[in-house]
Amino acid sequence: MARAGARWPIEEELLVAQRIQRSLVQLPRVELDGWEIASDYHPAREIGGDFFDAFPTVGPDAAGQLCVVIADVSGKGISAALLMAFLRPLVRAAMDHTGDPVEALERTNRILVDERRTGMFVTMLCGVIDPAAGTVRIASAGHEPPLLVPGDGSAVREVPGGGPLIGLFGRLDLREEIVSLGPGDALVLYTDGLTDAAKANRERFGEERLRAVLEAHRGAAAEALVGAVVETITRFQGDAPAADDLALLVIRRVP
Amino acid sequence: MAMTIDVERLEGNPPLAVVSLDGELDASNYERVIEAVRAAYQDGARGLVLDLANLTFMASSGLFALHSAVRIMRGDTPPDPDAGWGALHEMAADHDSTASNVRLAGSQEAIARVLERTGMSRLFGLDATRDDAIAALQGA
Repeated sequence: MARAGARWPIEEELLVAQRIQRSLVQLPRVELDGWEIASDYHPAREIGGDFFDAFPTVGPDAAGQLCVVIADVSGKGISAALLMAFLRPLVRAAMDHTGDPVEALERTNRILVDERRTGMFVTMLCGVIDPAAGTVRIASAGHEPPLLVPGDGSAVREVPGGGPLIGLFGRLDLREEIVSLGPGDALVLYTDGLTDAAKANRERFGEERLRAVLEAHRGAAAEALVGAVVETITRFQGDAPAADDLALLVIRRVP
Repeated sequence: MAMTIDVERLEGNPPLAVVSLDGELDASNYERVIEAVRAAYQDGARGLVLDLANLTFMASSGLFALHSAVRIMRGDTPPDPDAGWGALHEMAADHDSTASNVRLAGSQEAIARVLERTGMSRLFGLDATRDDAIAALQGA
């Protein structure tokens, strides 16, 4: 315990902030009948601002649905971690209130731009899994496009769509993309720390390698798919320090 | 680390800085870009060309640097990524306004795609070459 009135050294405060940030970034354990959700997060050396969340949606039309969120706050350090801690409950409340991923991101953006201008910004993707319909409704504010890994052997493909990131513009004007997931299909959400991971010689992991590892492990359970991607990246990076957070979330419909 | 920054001052109306980035812009070096732009502004530059023709890669931290450049050239203080709550202050800037005094020149396809996907391209004038950007700012 620090003495009353004594100041902690800044390094101590940074370590506390880092621990808080890493506890917030863990995905809560969620169950969705017939679906698998798995994730992993590897922080960079410094405090980052990636986060994800998963929670049941509320409302009369939303029974049995699950909302997933993945985001990457600009910059690094305590500011990014604080903004992440501010945004996580905000987007959840917006989702609870609206039940609509597009409107939830629009509302989150409005609060950040109109009421809490920070000069920082966030890429964020919000998806609502509807197990009855076999779909994921997606709204993306400048986030990396998700990858669909079909269980039937067809090519991994990017989910199109999306609009500007959160925090810069008054309106996002996003469009909802509805992705159908058949049995065995997986949807991969990630932050750019994954594709930007680099070896010591600065060669990047890139999207092609990501697609290749997903193709090679198609049909695997969500947990195994996450493990395969992270292991491949870790091997690729070798001893090179990670420059950015790496967050990965896989949604899979059980065959 | 894997990027060099070259700053050139051009007299005229307005006085310009051309900041050329060569290599890869990522979390390890984005603050150097912010510092270079800040120094150029303090040195009197009131228009900025970011020459990206030799920039081969840009991580999300690069977006932060580009946005900070817009704010510096508007006379705002960019947020300090390590300043804690102090950085999360109220801003009076209009986030929808186009920063006509900052132009991006020669963006390679991958970088142009990131700027488009995130909507950041709205904040800048976009030009094919450094000379086009200079002409657009100084009306030559």
